[in-house]
Amino acid sequence: MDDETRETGTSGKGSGDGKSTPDRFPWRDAPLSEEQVDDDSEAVSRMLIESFAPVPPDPEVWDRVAAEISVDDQSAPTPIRADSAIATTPSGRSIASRWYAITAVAAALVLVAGGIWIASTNTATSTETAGSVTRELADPETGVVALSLTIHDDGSTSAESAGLAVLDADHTYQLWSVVGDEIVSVAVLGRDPDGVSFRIEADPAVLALTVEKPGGVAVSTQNPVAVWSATS
Amino acid sequence: MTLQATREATQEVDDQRGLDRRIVEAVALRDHGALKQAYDAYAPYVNGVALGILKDRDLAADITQDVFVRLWERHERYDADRGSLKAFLQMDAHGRSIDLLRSRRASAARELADQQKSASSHVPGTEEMAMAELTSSTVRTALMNLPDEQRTPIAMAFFDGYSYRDVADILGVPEGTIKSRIRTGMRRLQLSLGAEAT
Repeated sequence: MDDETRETGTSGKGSGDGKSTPDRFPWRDAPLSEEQVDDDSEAVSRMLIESFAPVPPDPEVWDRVAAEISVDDQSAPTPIRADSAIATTPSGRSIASRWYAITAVAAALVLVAGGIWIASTNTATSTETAGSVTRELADPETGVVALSLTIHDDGSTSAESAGLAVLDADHTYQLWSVVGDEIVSVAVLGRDPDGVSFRIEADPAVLALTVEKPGGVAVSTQNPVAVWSATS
Repeated sequence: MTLQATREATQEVDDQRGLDRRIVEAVALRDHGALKQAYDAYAPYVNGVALGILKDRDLAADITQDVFVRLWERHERYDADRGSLKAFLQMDAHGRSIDLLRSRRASAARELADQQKSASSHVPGTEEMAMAELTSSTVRTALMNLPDEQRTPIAMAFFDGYSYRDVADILGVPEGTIKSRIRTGMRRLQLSLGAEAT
């Protein structure tokens, strides 16, 4: 503890990023410190900080954040993969093969862990432009497009809601794809997928969107609320 | 405040903390949507702090970006039991803004190759500009009601990121005196702000 810290009775453990800050400001990081904290200074410094007027950042700031965390995902562990023992129907056929077969006739029926995924008429569409493709996931019941995904050649993907309901705090949207014979969790998209960016490593044959508990699940037992397939 | 109002306020805080906790738990599970949710809710507050300190939209945007990327990468730094996510992110924005301010000041000082000239470039009273960014008239009034000898060093340290030693050099007052004035000023602020700060 340096002189300044001793004098004020506060302490700072650092910004947590491993960088040391000479002449450090004694109040910063105080809430994270495990050492003695001067309650008066902490409370006052919090009040001062919280008193700054909110100013919305420029819209592109989120795009920059999304781009950075997408790059971060590239070095992250591979996405959660459905348990193959569970993701196989009682007949032994893989879910993926069933999805392919069913989407070929514009309908999908998928059994997962005793639950049932039913996707009927699929009118979802896709478009391709230089450097990217667009996949439109549609409500399997009505065929109305609910979510549009723009997948760039480098795998970076952005979601745009087309009237998808914003969920309550106890639920999240989760995106799944079929790659080969596997159902793969692509991304947990949160309560409102609009504007969310993530990565898709391979161009999938089928995409499905489900509603899950916060944080997502390894294996879904929910009916998809929107689907897209290459054969539609 | 009535007992009922106190209960309702406490419940509101608990609900918000619960939501903050769920957001960060989802971020830990690499939920992009959860980070977007946090950004949508708190980015203006984070940006407001950075802009208030740095007075530069582009630099404030950089800080805002940095704060949310750090939330993504270092989500374990947030503990819902110790405060709201909004306050945590604002504190982070303040700390990084001060770091940037110091870094830029150090670069400028090197370019001038005249440390004393650089230090004397501080114009007493610039902290009032930062104070003007404060939304809360209560906080602003409390600050302005402090004696100059306490308000000025607090503002120089808090808004401009000067170390106590720099404040002492600039104001031409012994460092020990500056520490004492800041400490006394913070206590007076705490007293005048009363229950709000507890």
